[in-house]
Amino acid sequence: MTPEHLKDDARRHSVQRRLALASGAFACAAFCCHFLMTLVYLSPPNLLRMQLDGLATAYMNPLFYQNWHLFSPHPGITTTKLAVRCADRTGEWSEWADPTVSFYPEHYRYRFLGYGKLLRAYTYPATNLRDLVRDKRAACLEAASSDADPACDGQTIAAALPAGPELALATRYALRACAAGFPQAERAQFKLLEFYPLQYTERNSGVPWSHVDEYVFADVAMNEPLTVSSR
Amino acid sequence: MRAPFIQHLHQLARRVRTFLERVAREEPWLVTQHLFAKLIYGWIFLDTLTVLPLHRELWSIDALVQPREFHNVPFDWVFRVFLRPELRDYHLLFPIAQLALTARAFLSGPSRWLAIAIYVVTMNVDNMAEAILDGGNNLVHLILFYLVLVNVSGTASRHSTARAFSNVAFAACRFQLALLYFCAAMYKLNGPLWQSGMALYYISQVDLFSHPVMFAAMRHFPGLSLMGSYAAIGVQLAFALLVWVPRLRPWVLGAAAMLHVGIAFGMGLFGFGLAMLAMYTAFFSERISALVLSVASRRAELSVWVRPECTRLRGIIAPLVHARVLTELKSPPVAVHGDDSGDAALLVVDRRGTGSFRNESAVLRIAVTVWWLLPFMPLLATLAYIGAFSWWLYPAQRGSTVSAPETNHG
Repeated sequence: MTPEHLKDDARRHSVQRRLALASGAFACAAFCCHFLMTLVYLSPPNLLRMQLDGLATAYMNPLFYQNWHLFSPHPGITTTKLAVRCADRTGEWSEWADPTVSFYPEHYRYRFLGYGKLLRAYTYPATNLRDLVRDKRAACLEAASSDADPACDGQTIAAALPAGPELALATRYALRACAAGFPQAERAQFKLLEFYPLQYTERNSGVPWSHVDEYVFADVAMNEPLTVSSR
Repeated sequence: MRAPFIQHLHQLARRVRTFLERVAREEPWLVTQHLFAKLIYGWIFLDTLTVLPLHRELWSIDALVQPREFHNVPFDWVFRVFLRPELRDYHLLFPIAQLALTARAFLSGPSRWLAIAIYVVTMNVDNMAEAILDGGNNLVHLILFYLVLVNVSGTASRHSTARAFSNVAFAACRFQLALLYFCAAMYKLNGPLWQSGMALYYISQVDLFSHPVMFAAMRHFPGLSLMGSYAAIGVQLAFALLVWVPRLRPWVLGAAAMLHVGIAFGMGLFGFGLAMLAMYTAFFSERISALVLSVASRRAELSVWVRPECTRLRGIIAPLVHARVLTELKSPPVAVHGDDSGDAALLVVDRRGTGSFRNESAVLRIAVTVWWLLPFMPLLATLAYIGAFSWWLYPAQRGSTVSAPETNHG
């Protein structure tokens, strides 16, 4: 090998080393910045978050959105469902029924078959509506002079809900349930049920629930046109 | 002469420089990255396949799960394009494309372009029905982004920049998992129901996230809720802090796997449990990853070499050779995963090229080839981990000529 070749080799080696160093430094810096933003985004309120919250939120949403609550700190402990009943031409109403009731045994038996996701889809109109009623009730109680104000009663608020996507989705759910289960149905009605769990002291009381909140909504005709706009 | 402080600074700078160069020069997790990506894509395939029969209920224009509205911003054009009203009638296109892409990545090996396509398609599918997603989906979205940067091909990268970003992105996958557990544990420590140990008792009464057997057990044995709630916090915290210690890693991963198997069957979050189990492969060593890939290989043909001094081991292997399950090699194979094979008692080479194994790993590799040994795999793996095979593997060194023979100078 000539000295020129050796010099070329040394120069190439030096360039490669510098490139490797620059690449490593750049990648590590990107990693540190990314995880700093992630930590700020996920951390509870603190001084660093006060300074960087806007930047971290803008960086993380929507591409790196994350939320690792995983049933904490306050796990959801109530079960929310919509019960539906249907009326035929004579105006006679059927019993209230939960249209998803047949899916639960399948969900318990075949954990890997996607029934859990289907049930989450079917309970979505109920949880959506429950959140709306809760929000309205909280706002009402904040404005009211006492907690016992009858205007802030859950049933009163539910009955006075204005037309909106949540109500339209729940109505569609009821209409579909009646169309599937009662071919002669002319009208459909639904009620929102929230089941509260047994307290530890009630566990041997022999009843399945501690208590149930129940909000009944107005009935609708089966051929009523519905538009469910997106959120 | 420099002050000691300056010398320390120079030493530190040298170490940082060496580390940064190593980040761009070496790819120490090539096989693990390949396995990790395959399993993540396999999970996505299964997750979508199980809900495909329910497509009308989840993704169609008449679905009960209503997605967000489409906004004219770049993010929506890439990741929520199927929310455009005119495309909702073709809602099956993206899930089918997702199945095809993930099946291809799982069966014939992932690549960077495939990783990008799977990321975009998966985000579109999941954004069509956000209400049915869980923590597993959220984590997979983040991991899919990192996998675009990770070298998932199983062969070394040619460019230092690609190597650097691949290493850093794979480290990000690991950090992300640890961060998830750390946050979840911290939130739980702040929850009154978790503090009192009653969280599982109450969660077990929610129809959707429970099982009748689970609630019956919690009601009759309240201690179960206490133990389960505290164990969940303990495992999550231990994972975040101890998974970085190689000696403790198998125990931490084992405990976390048990937690998620419990969540999968007890709470019905099967997809979430499976996703977390797939994530744990990010913490596998290269040797274990090669073993798993080799096991998954459908056409393994094993050759075995047993050190002549190990007579007990020969006695065990001989029937397998006689039954033509294994082929015996007369001399040891040349290279076994970069390990020094000089002191190995048992070496196994898959002639199809999926890997080569020594001692305990070789025992496990043989066990998965012999179908009737498969049920004993958990037991064999535990025995291998605690070193119980050493009596079989090293009898000659222990029993006879351990020291060098005396030389005759006379």
